Amino acid sequence: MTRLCLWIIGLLLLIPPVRADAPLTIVMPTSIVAGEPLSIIITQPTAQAGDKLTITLLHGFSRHDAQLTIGTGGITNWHIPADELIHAGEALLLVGDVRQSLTILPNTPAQTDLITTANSLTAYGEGKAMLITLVRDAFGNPIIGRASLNVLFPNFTRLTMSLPIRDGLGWTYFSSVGGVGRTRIRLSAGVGESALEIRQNPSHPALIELDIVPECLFADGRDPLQLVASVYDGYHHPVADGTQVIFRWLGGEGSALTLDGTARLSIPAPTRTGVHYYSAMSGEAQSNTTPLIIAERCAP
Amino acid sequence: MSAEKWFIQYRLLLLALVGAFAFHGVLLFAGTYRNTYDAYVHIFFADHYARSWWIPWDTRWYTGFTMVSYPPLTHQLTALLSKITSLPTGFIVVMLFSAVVTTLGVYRFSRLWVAHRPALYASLLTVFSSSIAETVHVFGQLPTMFVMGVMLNALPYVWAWIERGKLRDLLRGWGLLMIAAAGHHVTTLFGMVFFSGPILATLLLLKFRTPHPQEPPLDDAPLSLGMMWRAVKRRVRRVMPALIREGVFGVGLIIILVVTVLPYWLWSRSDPITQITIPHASRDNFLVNTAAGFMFFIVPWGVMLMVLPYAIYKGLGSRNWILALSLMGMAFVGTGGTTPIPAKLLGGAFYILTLDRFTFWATIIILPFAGQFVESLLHGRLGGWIIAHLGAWWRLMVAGALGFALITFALFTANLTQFRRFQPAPIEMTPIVEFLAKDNHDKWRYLTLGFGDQMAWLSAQTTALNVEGNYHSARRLPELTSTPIERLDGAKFTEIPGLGSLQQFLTNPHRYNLKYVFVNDDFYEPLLYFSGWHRLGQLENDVQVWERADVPPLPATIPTQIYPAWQRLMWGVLPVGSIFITLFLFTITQFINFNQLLSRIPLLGRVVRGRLVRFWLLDEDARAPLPASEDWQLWRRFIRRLPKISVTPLAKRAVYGAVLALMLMVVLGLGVFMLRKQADTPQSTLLAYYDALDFKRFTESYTYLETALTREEYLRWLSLRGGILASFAKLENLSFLQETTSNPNDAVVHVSAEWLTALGSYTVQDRYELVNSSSGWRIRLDVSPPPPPRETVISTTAPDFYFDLPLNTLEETALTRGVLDRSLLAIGAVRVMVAPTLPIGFAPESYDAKRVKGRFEGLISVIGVVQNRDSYPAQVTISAILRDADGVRLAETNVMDVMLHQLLPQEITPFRIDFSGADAVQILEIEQIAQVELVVRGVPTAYHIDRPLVLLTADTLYNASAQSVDIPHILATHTDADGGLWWVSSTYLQMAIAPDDTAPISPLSAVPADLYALDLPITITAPRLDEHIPTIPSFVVHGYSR
Repeated sequence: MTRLCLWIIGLLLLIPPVRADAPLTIVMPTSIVAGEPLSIIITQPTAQAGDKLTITLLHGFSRHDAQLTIGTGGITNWHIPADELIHAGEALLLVGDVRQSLTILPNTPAQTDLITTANSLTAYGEGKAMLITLVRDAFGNPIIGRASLNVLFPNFTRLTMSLPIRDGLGWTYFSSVGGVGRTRIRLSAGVGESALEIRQNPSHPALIELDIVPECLFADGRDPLQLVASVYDGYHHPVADGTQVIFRWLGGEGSALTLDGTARLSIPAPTRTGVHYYSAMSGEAQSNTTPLIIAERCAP
Repeated sequence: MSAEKWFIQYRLLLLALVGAFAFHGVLLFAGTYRNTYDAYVHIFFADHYARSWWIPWDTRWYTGFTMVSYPPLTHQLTALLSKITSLPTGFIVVMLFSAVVTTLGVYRFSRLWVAHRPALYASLLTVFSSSIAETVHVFGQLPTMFVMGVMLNALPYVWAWIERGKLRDLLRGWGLLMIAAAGHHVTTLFGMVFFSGPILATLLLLKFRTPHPQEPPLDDAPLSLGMMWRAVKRRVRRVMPALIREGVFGVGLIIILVVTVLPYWLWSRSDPITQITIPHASRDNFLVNTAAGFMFFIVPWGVMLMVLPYAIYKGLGSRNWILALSLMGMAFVGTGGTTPIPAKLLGGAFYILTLDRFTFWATIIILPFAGQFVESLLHGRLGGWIIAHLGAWWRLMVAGALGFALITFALFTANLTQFRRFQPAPIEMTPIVEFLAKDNHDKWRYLTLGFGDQMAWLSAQTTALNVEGNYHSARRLPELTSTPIERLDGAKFTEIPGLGSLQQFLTNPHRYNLKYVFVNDDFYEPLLYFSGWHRLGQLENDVQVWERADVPPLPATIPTQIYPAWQRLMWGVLPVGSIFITLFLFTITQFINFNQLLSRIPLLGRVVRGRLVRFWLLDEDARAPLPASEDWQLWRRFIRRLPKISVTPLAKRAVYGAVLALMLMVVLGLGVFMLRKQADTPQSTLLAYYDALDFKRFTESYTYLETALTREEYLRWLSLRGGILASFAKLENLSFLQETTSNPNDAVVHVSAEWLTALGSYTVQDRYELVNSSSGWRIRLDVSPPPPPRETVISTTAPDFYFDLPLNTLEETALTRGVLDRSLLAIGAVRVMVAPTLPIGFAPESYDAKRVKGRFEGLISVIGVVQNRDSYPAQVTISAILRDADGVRLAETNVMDVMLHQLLPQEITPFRIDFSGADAVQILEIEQIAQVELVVRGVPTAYHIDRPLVLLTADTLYNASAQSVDIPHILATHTDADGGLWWVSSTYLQMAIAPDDTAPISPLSAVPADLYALDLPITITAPRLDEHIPTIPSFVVHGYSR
């Protein structure tokens, strides 16, 4: 029995005494902006000066480790310099079993991209496109905030609006204003700025004037016949270059492209004497039927 | 043996080795490999290992393919050598090594069957073997050559092991066969059957006949059951040790084959090849396809064809009769489809294997017999017979003629690619490589057309991805595996199936991120143009670059198959490691006698020393001298009983006369054959005329004419007849029908010519009048002389467009802005039509019919009209998706050529989307389709915005531009009684139209029979869609100008 008691006492002596550790304290901000330096003060009252302390900061896919030397009073400081913690998001600080989180916020806007869904629009308010912007800080973190959008239309009408940006993305529809010309678009957010120009083009063809040159031709089929169509939009502006105009006549058709609103097609003249009729169409617009006289002799 | 004696004994072998090195070395370094079929493929594989040794996956071909599908040793060796030289030099060195090792191997293999001197002659014959010359310099089959050399050197060890039971031989044989397995599994697997099979069987027969040293002689007692039992027991005892050793060897070989390239076997088991049979000329009837007969029979056999009867006679009359049977079997199987027997023998394998390899093996196996033939001619009975009957000079002449023929034919074969081009002229790849490397062009896939096997050489020089490749066993895309074509690059050579498959890719480039096509053959230009591609320009090497707008770039991460680390380690280490393992085995067995060593090991030694193992496995079976071969060839006993026919030797004069007469008959026969071939008949003249036109030999074509035109006028007349058939077609077939005429010197022949173009095939009927003139049959061409060329100025004005893309950095090239800028489009009159009789896929051949199921008729088409409502030209892409009731995608495709892909502002085009190919074939019942989705999208374009053609009258087209229109194209709409769109037809005119000229319109394509509409819900989606409904145009005419 005595042996057993001695054995138990001996066993108890081998167990280290339980020491009530003073709590480890971490002093650090709960959030910083991307790229900002970070200073962390750790206090461990029970530690002796010169003791080592391992500290880890998990930040996205990166991991920062440091072994700090504790100074007098159990205090140590970890300084992470600027431009180290650059990715916005949550970070986690681990010191032994103690964990503390840190939020890294995006910095001020520094980069902007401006994209449209159309490089050109139909003028007169008939065209509509989407403007898309991507706003990021200097480190590429998407921004939450607002951007300033300025649009100057060809008729000097100015549109200014504040564009909400969520997760770096902002978008809005806008319609053309005024006539044919260039629309200047400028977007600014912080120090980031983007500019874009969009053409405002004429509207769809609405009016076609067809001329036949000459109006009378010999019936020998030697002379070319030129069909000239002047095409205008609803605002009497020449339609966009390259607009297709289809010329039609009995049993045939041909097409030409407009240049400064005029489309020309040269074809061999018919050889059968009489009056031949021609018309032109583009989009929904159609010209009047225009006659051509094929004769043995044409009046001077 | 002293060095001098050794040299004397082996001087011919040394001569053969030096000869092989010099002959193949000079030719290879001169660049014969550049014109071969396969050299660049092996160089590409080597390039993979040079770039990423440990990753057996290459993304550069077929949207990614596994490298474990081909044993890697030769490629890895080339890759290693490329680190100190270059890839081509590495290839040459390995190939040269293979040729020299094969020469040595032939000697060693021949020694198993024939005496020393014939074996030496066999090695000399190897140097100028036309089959080896063909394999090296025409086919460029590096692994086949490498493995043949290694295997031939391994077989003597196999023989020695089975005969004597020395473990040293077994280990060396296994080591060499491990290298062979790492080089090419098929040669090792199948080749072993035909090469080692005769060895194993012959050795068993020898053992069967050879009494064991301890074996007491059989008593002369009368035959009884007991005596027979004793005789059987004796023979079993004689054979069993060899049989067991063969078993040990066989089991070891299987383990080596499996382990060395284990990832290959795992891949082939988990991912079986689904490719339908690709026709190969080696399976053709060589009497019908004489070109195939030339390549796969005449060329590889060469002079050996004359030795073949001798080899069979000599082989069957000696102990080598099993080898002779193997030779006969392989030679016969190598004749392909000339007789139906190889197909019946091989069963399904006939349509998978290329049979030229059997001929190649046969031409190797014949070499021991050929050595015997030379020996007999120079030193033996054959030479003696010639001297006795014809004189010594004749023996010299025969030997000299044979030698001359052998060398000449080998040189001819090695340079065959120079005489008869199998590949396009060498293409300088640097401009293409630079094009792919700059401006992020490698963010998309590319395709080559008309490059031949050089496409692999391009792939080896770039990291850009090709949508296809040059190794069809690795294909997994259904669009490729479901068509019997070798490569899209040479689609025109596989006619309609090939072009059909190419059309699928060019029509749906977005599916494969395919944006660039490099074209080295004008043939494909029309297909590219009318499928919505535009030509960017021509590179310095005359290769055209074509581009497709609105194709998404490759994803940032391309899917790859990740192999387990142990497999990657095995694949990277074991094949090359096999060489070191073999070297180690050779070294260690040089110093250690394993048989003794085993018997000294405690415990194991007791087992080895035990009678069982000693007798059955390891002990030498001392062999008594072989009895005369007649004693064991039963049929000889029978032959001996036949009455002997004695022939009185003829006088020398008579023999000379007979030989001369024979030679004259051969020459005359050849002459008659050639003359008959070139016989002057109306058909032969027309054939020659069409041949000259097909190959653009226009001056020659004039010589077949009887015309008042001068040659210059004729050439001018021809030059005015451009068009799809004259400039972009390949003549496929000609058939003649001759009318009976009263005048024997006049003939009227109707010619039906079948022309293949990239847009389909055309049958053109023509009627020719021919006259038998003093210079033979000539074609009467009665046309008025074309007007003399005069200087005419034609001027036109047209707007032009330039898109200034906002390129901030090269990284951003067209990846954002270009894609986002969408054109405003309007669409209408959309309908789903079914043409039940039109073909939609390639019905499989009978041998594939069981495993390929599908619906091969019944075209489903989505038709409609689309208009560009924007203020700039738009490149329009329309995709249709067929879905079942659950919304599952059944098939998806774009419009091919039945629309105008580039639309001017306000322009309207009808379109027709045809569902054909792999996807459509899998829709077994049309009733499965429950809904249709149409995706319409457009991007700005500055290409193909000219509209030169005018429909002058209902049947005349006029070219109003200043450029010739080479291929006029007419899209016509057909409406139903209510004015709704019913069908869109597409017609290409065959003739070009010169500027300011007119051309008649040929009959337009008809509406298919039994056409009906499917009443299905159609969803239309588009990035920018106008609600305006376009009118249906009656016609849309446009054309391709080169």
